[in-house]
Amino acid sequence: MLTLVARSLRRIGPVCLGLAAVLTSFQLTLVAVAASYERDGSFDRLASMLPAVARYAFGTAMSSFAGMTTIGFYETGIILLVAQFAIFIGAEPAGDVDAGIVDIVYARPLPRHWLVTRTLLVLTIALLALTLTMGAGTWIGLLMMAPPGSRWPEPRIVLTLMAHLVMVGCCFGAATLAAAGWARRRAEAQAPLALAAIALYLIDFLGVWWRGLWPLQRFSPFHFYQGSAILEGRANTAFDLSVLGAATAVASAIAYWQFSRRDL
Amino acid sequence: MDATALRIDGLTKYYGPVIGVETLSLDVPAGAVFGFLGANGAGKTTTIRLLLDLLRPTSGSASILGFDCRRESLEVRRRVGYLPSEMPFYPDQTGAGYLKFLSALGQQPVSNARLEFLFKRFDMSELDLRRRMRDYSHGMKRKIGIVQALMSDAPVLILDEPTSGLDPLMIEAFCETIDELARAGRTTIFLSSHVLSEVDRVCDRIALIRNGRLVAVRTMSELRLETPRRVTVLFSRPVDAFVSLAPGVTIVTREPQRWVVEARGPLGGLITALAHLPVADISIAAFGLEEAILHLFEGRAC
Repeated sequence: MLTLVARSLRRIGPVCLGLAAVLTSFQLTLVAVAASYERDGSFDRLASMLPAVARYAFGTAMSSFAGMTTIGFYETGIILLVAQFAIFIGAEPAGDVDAGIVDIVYARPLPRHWLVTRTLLVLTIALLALTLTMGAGTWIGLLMMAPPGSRWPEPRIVLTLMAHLVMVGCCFGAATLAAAGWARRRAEAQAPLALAAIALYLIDFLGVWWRGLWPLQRFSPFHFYQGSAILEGRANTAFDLSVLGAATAVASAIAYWQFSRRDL
Repeated sequence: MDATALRIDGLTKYYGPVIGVETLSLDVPAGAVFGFLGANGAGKTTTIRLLLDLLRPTSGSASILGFDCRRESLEVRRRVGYLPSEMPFYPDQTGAGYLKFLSALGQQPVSNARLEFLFKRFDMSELDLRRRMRDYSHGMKRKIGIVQALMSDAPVLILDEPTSGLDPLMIEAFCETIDELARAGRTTIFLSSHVLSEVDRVCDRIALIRNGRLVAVRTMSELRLETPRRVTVLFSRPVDAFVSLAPGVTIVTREPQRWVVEARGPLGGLITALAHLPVADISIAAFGLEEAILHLFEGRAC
């Protein structure tokens, strides 16, 4: 198993490193911008200028130094990027079938379920590495650039945001893995899930203003990651993480079941 | 070791309405070099992938060394060295890295001596092995494929089109290796191939498959006996008299000083019958596997 996990990590390594570099740079930039606002004392002015959409998306994050430095963990672009990365990883077994790698690997005495377990492990490791790098970037930025006397984000809040980000990624990764159980081409699993992730984000986001989308919101994993609510202490974190965990578990179980019966 | 190394019993695989293989049954004795022949799409690769549990059968079963290919597939795959018809690879890996990766997955130690022997046999230098797989030619990838199938000294080898893309020298090296394994008698080899000369050279028995169904299973000696041999007889003077030839011999062309006959089975009877005729010369066409296979397909014997 370690051999397979190591090989997969080596394959996704460049993508993971590139993404980690982008996300960490973003965190550093956020801290720099927040530090600038904090020095000028202009957070109140900034908050009053925000349109309703941004106020909903960012909550009180835009009105404090601690809030602004954590935006990177739930900003639309970042969260979708992480979801797409998880989808890319989750489609790996379909890619292995597509490329015929399964022929040579699973002609060896390896249980079939390793195909799924390997991808789940790689998914978890990659998402943890990514969010930990983001967390490290935030803390390094704070150490380097935070103005004296500024209020830093609470580690508990940052860890909660990181946990949600990892779980949303796991949820999409596992869903892609389940879809890969029926796919013979990587794109057959990856493309529909990539589009679905965007659609589900829009459903959750637009559902705030359009009542017609309310019933669908609960089917969106993004609905269970409300960054601004976490910052403001309004979120039911345990419930949200449980829902995301349960969805991941169900999708993983489907993947195990389908890969145990399918033709490779 | 059981006398039968590989047993297939009523194996059927449908891909929706398409027949992959249908009610395929055959036994491969331990220590045999078994050629599995058929045209493209006949069901050879499907059968091989069913044996390795990469495909799930619609019905029927198969076993290797007494282990069921479906229920005990881990035990089966522990004992099989496999070369797929198309060698999949990770482009970023070097040849040496690829072999190391596969040997780690095989969960069985691969001896350096064995690897060195195979590298030498298939003319693979250290420099070759340090190159990335994406830079390899088709033949080089094939050689890596053969090495990975043979490196663990598995008691059963399943080789799908092993020599496709190899140059004549490497085909010879491959045949020599199979001959050595066959002589040692510890390995059962199940190989599919289109290259009939290679099958003729290394196999001691064959199965023919067409449209997913078994057409015939024969030992090479049975095939030689069954296949009509064309014999041309030249006489020193015209022979007009009717001569009763041996059973199984039919005259194809009859001219006063030249007969062309087809003989099945041992040629002794024909030689005896010709003994009292003024024979000037006899030429016997060499056994051709291609002709034998065509004959079997025409007869659809089983």
